[in-house]
Amino acid sequence: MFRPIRVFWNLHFLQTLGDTLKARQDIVRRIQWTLVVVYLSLLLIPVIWPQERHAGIFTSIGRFAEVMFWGIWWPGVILSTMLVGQFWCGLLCPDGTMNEFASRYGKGLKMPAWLRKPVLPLMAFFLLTFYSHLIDAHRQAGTTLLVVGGMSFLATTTGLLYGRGKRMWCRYLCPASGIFSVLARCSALHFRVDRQTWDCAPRPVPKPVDCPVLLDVRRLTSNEKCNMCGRCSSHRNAVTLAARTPGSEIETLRDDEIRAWEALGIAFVLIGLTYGAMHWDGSFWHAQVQRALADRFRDMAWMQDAAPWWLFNNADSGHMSWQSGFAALSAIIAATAGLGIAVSALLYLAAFGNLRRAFALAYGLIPLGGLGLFLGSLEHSLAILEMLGYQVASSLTWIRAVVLLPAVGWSLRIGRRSLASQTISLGQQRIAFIFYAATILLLALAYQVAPNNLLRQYLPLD
Amino acid sequence: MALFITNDCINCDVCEPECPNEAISQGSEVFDIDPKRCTECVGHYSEPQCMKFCPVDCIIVHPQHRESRNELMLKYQGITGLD
Repeated sequence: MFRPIRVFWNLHFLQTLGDTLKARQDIVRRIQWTLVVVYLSLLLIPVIWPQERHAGIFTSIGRFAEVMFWGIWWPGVILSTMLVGQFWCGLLCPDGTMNEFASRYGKGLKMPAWLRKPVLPLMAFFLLTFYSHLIDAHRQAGTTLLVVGGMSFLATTTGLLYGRGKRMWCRYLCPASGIFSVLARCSALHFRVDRQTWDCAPRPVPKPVDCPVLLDVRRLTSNEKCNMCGRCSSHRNAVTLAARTPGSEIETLRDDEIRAWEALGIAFVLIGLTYGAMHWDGSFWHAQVQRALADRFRDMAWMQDAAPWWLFNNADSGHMSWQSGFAALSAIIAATAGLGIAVSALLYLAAFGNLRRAFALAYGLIPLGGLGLFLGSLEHSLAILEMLGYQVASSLTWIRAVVLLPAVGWSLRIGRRSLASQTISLGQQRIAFIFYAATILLLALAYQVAPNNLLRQYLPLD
Repeated sequence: MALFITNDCINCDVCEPECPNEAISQGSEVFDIDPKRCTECVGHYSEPQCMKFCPVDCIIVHPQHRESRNELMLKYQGITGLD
């Protein structure tokens, strides 16, 4: 008797929440602009007023900013996107706010077709992640400004050129949206459209649907680009914020929704690159590369010179030699390619050589890849806690296991359902599942035994 | 030439009220332009209003309804009763 009431309450609560987001956009705007001010302060003040590198988080605005950006925001937004969708993007993101504001007063040009290629945000995320780890962007105010502030500059410039009060940056260019679009497919919340109600709504409609990222709300079935801003809630009485089984969107992907570039992006960017970028330092493959390069460049004295900070950088020493920089670059590429190729090969075997089926199976890795990304980003938070005197380094193994266990179950479940929907025999399904499970096991092991760098990142406070 | 809305249409409702000939209506998947009523805004404006306001550039010249400016003007006069 209580379950129907609980279900009804949940549905009613969600619908009310969606409608409130739409009705109280004035409050949302105030929160957004407050965040813009806070964000710009945290970005700029540490650069204008540099402080001691190893100062405490409450005595140094630079260290406080680092905690906010990389200790809280980055892991928080990854996890929240996977669980409930891109609410950060639609309601809080300063870049989105500035982009939309700029586009209200900008030139209002139409975005050229070459800038609207769907693969661009993921490519941008690839390049940005690569670069930000080579210059140790997460641990220094100047490099954070270069990377994060650079994106804000581009977001604002895009608004000044393209769109009329719309978020063209968020829709077509933002690197974060490139990865969040993938992760949001897992989420338990979405704006559900009742197509029949939409089509039968009385004409003319009072006003056009206000979607800042120009989604086809009428035909909306995926969460991938939805910013969860709520502005379409109850439009034509057909749009409702609703709950769904986490990952159900991935299980029910149609053939025309499966994209080769996205499947490869899951293998080589979400999994390969983020793993390589977050775990190269202190890894055995990095040590191998360093030794090989030391032998190779023994007679090239200039390789020991410091490279420009904007090319290769280490936050502790303030510079990095060319040789060390190339070693880091090679280590990241090696892990990206190695893990990406291994995953792709196993999925290809699971699909019995059928590329379309292999691409479909790649989507099942999103929960594990996403939570692996979350774990990698969380290590920065844990390193900060270690610096503050909380001894968490030895707990990392357990933290990883606690996060990876449900991630493995989640991805296995999606893979099993995806295979069950394919037109192959039961025997083939079982064999395919063995290869798919081997992919999951490989990834889980890789994340579990990744190098533990918590004690290397910071000197402890006195 | 009449205009045509491609499948890139995002059903944003912006174009329909802008059409002075009421040629645009909601179709089964995207909005449709009635080629019998579309004059590319000849007679009303200097440029097609739907194309001007469309945020995603999904309106093109209809490949199967190519008409000269004179033909469009005659169509406009027929629609508005000015012939």
